[in-house]
Amino acid sequence: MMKKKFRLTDPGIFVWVLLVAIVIFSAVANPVFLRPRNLKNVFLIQPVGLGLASLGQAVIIISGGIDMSIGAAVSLLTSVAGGLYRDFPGVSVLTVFLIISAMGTVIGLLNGLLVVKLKIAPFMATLATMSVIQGGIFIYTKKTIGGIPKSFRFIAEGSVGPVPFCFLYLAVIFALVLILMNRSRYGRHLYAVGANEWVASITGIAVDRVKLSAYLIGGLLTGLASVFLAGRMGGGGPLVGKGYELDTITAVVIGGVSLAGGDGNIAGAIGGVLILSIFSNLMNLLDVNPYIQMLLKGLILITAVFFYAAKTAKAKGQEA
Amino acid sequence: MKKGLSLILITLLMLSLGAAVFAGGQQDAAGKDEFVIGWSNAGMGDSWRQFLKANFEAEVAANPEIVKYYISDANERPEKQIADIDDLLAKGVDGLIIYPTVGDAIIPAVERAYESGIPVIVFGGSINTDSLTCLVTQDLYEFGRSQAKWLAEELGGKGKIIMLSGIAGNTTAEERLAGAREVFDANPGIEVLDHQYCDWSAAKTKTIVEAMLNAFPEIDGIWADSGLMSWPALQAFEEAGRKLVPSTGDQLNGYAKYVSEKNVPAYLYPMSTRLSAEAVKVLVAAMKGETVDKKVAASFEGMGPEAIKKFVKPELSDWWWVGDDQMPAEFLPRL
Repeated sequence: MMKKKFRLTDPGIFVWVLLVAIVIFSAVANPVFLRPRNLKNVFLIQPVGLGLASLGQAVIIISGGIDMSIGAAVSLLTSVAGGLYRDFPGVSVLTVFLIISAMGTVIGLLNGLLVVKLKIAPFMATLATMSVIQGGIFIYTKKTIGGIPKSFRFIAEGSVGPVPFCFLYLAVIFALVLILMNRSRYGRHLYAVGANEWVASITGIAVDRVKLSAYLIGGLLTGLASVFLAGRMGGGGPLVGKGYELDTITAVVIGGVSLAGGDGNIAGAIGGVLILSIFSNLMNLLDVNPYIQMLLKGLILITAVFFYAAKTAKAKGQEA
Repeated sequence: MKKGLSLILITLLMLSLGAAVFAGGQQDAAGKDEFVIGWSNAGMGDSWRQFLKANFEAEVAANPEIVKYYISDANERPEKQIADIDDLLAKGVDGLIIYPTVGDAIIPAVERAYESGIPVIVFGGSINTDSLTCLVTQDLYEFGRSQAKWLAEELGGKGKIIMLSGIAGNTTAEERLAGAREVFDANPGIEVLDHQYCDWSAAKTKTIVEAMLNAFPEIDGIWADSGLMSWPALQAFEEAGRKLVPSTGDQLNGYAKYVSEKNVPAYLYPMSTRLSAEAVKVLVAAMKGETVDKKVAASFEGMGPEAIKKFVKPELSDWWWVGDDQMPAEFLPRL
């Protein structure tokens, strides 16, 4: 294998360059950005929910799939967390944590089975699950269920010394996923399957099992994200996760992960999430009109995708 | 080269994180006579929200002690609104107004803001916490009840109706619906043929009502929680060549224009955008250190056919809000 040359425009690097650029710009644009309290919000707390869900989305996308059901799953799981406390006051934090994580994994299993066993295209399969879950939520509850107690909210609001607990929560899970994806044989298989299923299968990789496992991991991570979000919102409701699937895809794409599968670093997803988090904070600090915000967000996405597409085209050209 | 650059990037990030870890204290607003306020708004998607903002800005201008204001937009998402509230607090506002996306999904942020020591006014929704200065609200059950009572009376307590709601799961839509159902359940002569969520969308309403018109040969009345739906519903009746029936809605000018032009009985119950101005008034009082009630329930009167003829603005946009335009002209939305 040829040793890769290092370039700032490499997708795995570009996201971090973009991140540093936006940090520097924010610091210059408004001094409030550098206030410790603001930095703590923007780096350590606000990115946690989207960060965890985007890690899941990234694993699935790298395996060659996509998950459109994340938003509905977040709505369902946070609602159930609220519902558990409503119906069983005094339930332990650990029990709720385990139930929500398990339910997330089951949703992942469902998605995985539709894709692997019924051979439904991932986009359609997970779009269908989205609709099924959304319907299910409305049967379960039409209203937001609040009232999650402080003990559970510790996950989102508590601190260990000066460090917010939720940051540690994200950091540990991120480290585990990073090791799994970048340092294990399983991770290599996942990339191989995402890049080319047929080639992967003739090299002896159990393609179906690998694909299924990607959805399981994705579902688990959605569950873990929902645990944080339920704590952060103090409850859940039928609409609270709306649009989350698109946000995770945006973060993952900005992070340099190819939607075609098999390419990109999982860490990029976190970079993408941080960029979105800082961007949103900056827009608030500068008091930018909401319509302009949407427009600028689109421009960031296009810039990232443009860089990556140009890079891929060039790489393909060199191969030929 | 690669290592060097990575090192720089990592150092920069670590520095930011390091600074972030040592979070600072809070500002104190007491004893000031100039105020900076923040409004964490849920979204800016339609003309009703524009009137809400116009009423807010007109009231801010009427209070010279407010020297600056910020408005954030949560894009209708609670998680974004929580971040917005934290951002406004980081900017150091002296008072905060919150129009909730989903009341019970932002409680921790509302409590955080209140515990930071500034007055926090929540308006336009329900929220299940006492950790706020004042909840300025309109009774949405009463909204639905009042509409339903009028319709039941208009039909003489007997008839087949359809029900059209906003967005499933949305607190406003669900509470209006619950209020209306209460009344219809108590009126055995009223038969509810069908209830559907039309998302406050004209296009969706038309499609759904067209299907209802095919399914039911007799429909005597329309309960809709908003003119955004009763208006297109009536248009669907007209296009199908069916007799126009009594309907309910809110103070949307287009709907008011349509029913007064067609001379068909209707009932408008206002979802008043003046509520944002009420919130500003309460906030200013609280920032000045005056005692304010924990809850302010603004009440409004419904408009029957006669009142509609009086308040309708035939020369203005369909997206005008009847009765909500009592402000200096420069603040009025350009529609």
